[in-house]
Amino acid sequence: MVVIDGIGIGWSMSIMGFVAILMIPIPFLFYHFGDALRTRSPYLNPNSGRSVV
Amino acid sequence: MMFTEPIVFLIALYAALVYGLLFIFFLAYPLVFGPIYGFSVGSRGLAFIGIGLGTITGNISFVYLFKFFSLKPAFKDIQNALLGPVMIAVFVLPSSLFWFGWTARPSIHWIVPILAGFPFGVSIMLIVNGLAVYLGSTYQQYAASAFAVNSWMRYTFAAAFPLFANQSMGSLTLFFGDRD
Repeated sequence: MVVIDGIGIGWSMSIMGFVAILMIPIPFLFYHFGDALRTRSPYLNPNSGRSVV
Repeated sequence: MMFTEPIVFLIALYAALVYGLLFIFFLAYPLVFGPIYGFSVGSRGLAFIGIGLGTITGNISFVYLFKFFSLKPAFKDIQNALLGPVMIAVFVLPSSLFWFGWTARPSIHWIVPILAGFPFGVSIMLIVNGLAVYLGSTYQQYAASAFAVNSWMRYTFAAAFPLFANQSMGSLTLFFGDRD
């Protein structure tokens, strides 16, 4: 009888693959909302109204 | 900066995932090519040639992809042109992981999982280069602080990923005995 203590290479890599799929929107977010994020940042825009911590 | 700037946090998170994946491959390759395919200890190192060629190709192709995207009207902003290669690579990365994970079994020839290392290498280089240059060119005089967050998160993840990868991939006896 084999003790089940893991899920194998296939599912380990698949979990990583699902996490990588979750990351897909990041460059598209930067493409569409990059300007808004840069305007909001106190580091990049001194007039953003927020203070650099 | 890590928690107040979404750009820094998201880029650091992605770079951390990519480096964690790279270190997981360092752990997974000996497990796959040793017990499953019967490679000797020396030949297991040669299996990394796939990733190596992929990273070289990724570094070179980043230059040409960036040039290609910077000429497109939709990417005329130089910041967005840096994201072009990343937009391709984000789709290649998960597919190469599924490819490697589900072809690493005795019934499939050993070249197939090694070939999966090539798109993996290309995509991690496009992602890491593209996002790092984006980070640096966005936070011009604060780039050092942004990269400090990036490096700290990256290597923390890279240290932690192999620890739980060992748990999840530890059952090669199960893989041999029951699944296949």
